Amino acid sequence: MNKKPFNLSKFLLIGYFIVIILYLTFPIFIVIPISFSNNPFLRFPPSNLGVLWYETYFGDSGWVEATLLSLKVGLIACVVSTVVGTLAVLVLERQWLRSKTLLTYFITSPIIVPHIFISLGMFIFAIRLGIDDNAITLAFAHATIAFPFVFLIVGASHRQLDPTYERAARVLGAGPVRAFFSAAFPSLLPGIVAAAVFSFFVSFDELIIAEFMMSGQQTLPMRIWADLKLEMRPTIAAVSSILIVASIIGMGAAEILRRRSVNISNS
Amino acid sequence: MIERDVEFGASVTFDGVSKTYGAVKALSDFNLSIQPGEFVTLLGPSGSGKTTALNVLAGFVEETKGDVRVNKKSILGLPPERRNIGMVFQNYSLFPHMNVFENVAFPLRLRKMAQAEIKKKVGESLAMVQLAEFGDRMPNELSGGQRQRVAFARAIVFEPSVLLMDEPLGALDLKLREAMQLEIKRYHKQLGCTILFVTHDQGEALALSDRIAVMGEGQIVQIDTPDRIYDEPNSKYVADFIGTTNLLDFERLSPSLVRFSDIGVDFQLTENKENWGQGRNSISLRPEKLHRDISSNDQMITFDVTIEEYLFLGNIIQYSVRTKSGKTLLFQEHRGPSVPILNRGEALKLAFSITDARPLEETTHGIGRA
Ligand SMILES: Nc1ncnc2c1ncn2[C@@H]1O[C@H](COP(=O)(O)OP(=O)(O)OP(=O)(O)O)[C@@H](O)[C@H]1O
Ligand SMILES: [Mg+2]
Repeated sequence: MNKKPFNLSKFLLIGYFIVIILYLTFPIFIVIPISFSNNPFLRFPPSNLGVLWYETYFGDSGWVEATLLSLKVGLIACVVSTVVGTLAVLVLERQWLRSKTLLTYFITSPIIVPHIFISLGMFIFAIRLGIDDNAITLAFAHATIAFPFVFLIVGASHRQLDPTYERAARVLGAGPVRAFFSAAFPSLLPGIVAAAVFSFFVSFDELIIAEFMMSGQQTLPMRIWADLKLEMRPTIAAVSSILIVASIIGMGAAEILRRRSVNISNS
Repeated sequence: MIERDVEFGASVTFDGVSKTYGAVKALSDFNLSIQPGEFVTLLGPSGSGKTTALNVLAGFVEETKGDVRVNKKSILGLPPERRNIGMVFQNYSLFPHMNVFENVAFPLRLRKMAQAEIKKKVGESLAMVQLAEFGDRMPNELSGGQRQRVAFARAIVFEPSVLLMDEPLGALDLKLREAMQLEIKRYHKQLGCTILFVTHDQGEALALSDRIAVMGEGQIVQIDTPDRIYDEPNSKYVADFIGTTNLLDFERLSPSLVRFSDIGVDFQLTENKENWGQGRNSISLRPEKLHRDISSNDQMITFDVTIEEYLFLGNIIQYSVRTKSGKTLLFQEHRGPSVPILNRGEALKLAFSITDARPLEETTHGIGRA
C-alpha cells in the first residue's frame, strides 16, 4: 500500500460537491418523508407513518382529473414542440441562411423571456380568438416554451452527425427523404426522444401560463397551488413525491438515450 | 468472383467546370477527360479542389459553370441517386445501425432487387473483399481496414460504371495502406470500372494510377502517366510536389548557351534548344540523377561540392551537398561494396547529364513553395 499525501484542494472540492448536491436535492429529502405520514398537517420530521395521503390523492376525483388534464396537455405539447423543433433544426442546420444567427436567437428567446410576459401575451391572444380555457390552446402555449429546449437538444445531436452518411446513402441510390431516414434519423432519434421527454416535463409542471389560460379546469400544478393556498395538506407531498419519481425515471431514460446516441455516432 | 467485361467502365469528361464559393474558386476551368476503365488520380495539396471535383461528379455540389459528361451524356442537374456512381469516403460512412450485410445490401434494396439476388450479389461482393464471413458484424465491430473493405464492397455491389474514392486510405496506418493499395489495384483489374481517385500522397498516386492529374488552385497543372509525371514534370510546381528534386536556376546567354550560376557552369546546348526558352529559368534535377563517377561525355555537366550531411534511407543514402556558390543540393546513391560512404566535409565533383535536366515553367500555383 502506498500512502497518498493529503491533498487539501481535492478534499475541499469533494466537500463543495457534497454541499451543492445536498442543496440541490434537499427539497426531495423533506418532501418524500412528509408524504408518508398520516398526520393531517404538513410537518417535518413526519410522525405516524402510513400511506394515507396517497390514498387521498387517488381517491379524490379532483386530483385525478387534474392529473389526467396535465398528462393530456403535456403529451400534445410534447408532440407539437418535438416535431416543430426538429424541423427547425433541419432547416437551420442544413440551409444556408443569411439570417441564421438572428433566427436562432429568436427561436431560443422563450427561454429568456419571463413566463409571466409570455402568459400575458398568450392570454390576450387567446381571449381575442375566444379559445381560452381550452386544453389544446394551453398545450400549444406550452409547446412554445418547450420548443427552444427541443431545438437545443436535437440541434446538438444534429451537429454530431457526419454529413457524409447521407451523401453515401444518396450515391447508393436513395432520394433525399429516404437518405435522411436511413442515414441520419437513426442517429438523431435518441436525441429526439430525449427532447420529447424533456418537453413533456416542461409542460407537465408549468403553472404560470396555465393559471392565466385556464379558468374552468385545473392542471395538476394549478391544483397543487390552489391546495397550498388554502390548507397545506400532505396530499401535496404525496403528489410531489410521485412527480419526483416520475421525472427522475423519465429524465434518466432520456439521458441514457442521449448518451447512447453520442456514443454510436462517435464509434 | 464477379466477372465483368472491360466495356463496363464509362468515360468521364469535365468540360470547363468552375465552382466558386463566394470569392473562393474551388475549381476554375477544370478540364479532364477519362477513358473507360481508366484509373485516374487527382493529386494536390489541401484546398486544391480535389474533393470539389469529385463532389461535382457525384452530384453533391452544383458547378457554377461548365459541363460534366459520363459516356458522352451530360449529367448536369441529375440528383446523385440517379447518376449510378459508386463512392468510397475517407471515413468509410458505413451506416452504424446496420450490419455489414445490410450495409452492402442497401443500394440493391433501393433498386428493388429480389431477395435471392440480393443475397447472391452481397455474397459475391463480400467474398471479393475477403469478408464473406462478416455479414452479421456491426460496423463498430470491425477494424479500420475491414471497414474500408466493406465500404468498397458497398460501393461496387450495384455495378456502377464510375467509382470515386476520396482519400480512401487516409485513415489507415502505413502497413495497411500499402496492403490496401495492392487490393485496390487488384479490384480495378477485376472490375474494369473507371476509377477517379483522390489523394495527397504522391507515393500512392504513383503506385496506383494509369494517369495522375496534379492539381493546383482548382486546375490541373499537369496530367500524365506516373513515370512521365516523375521524369518530365513541366513546371516547378509539379517537380517539387512529386518526389524530391533539386531546382537550379539558369540564365540564357544566347540561344544555345545557358549559365547555371548556382554551380558556376556555362553550357553549350546542342539538342532540344527550344525547351530552354519561353520564360523558363530553372531546371529540375532528381537527386538520383546526380553521380560522382565522371565518365567524360559532351552532354555531361560537372561541378564541385562539399558534403554537408547524409541521411541513411536503407538501400539508398541521401547526401546534402553545398556548391561553391552556397546552394544546397540533394544527391542520392545506392549503397554497394564499391560505393564507399562519403564523410562530412569531404570535397568531390558531381556530374549530371543535360538530358536528365528538365527546364521548368514558372507557375503561380506553388504559393509558399521554394
Ligand atoms: N462548402 C464550402 N464553402 C466554402 N468554401 C468551400 C466549400 N467547400 C470547399 N471550399 C473551398 O474550396 C477549396 C477547395 O476545397 P476542396 O475540399 O475541394 O479541397 P481538397 O483539394 O479536397 O483539399 P483536402 O486535401 O484538404 O481535402 C478550398 O479552398 C475550400 O476552402
Ligand atoms: Mg478533400
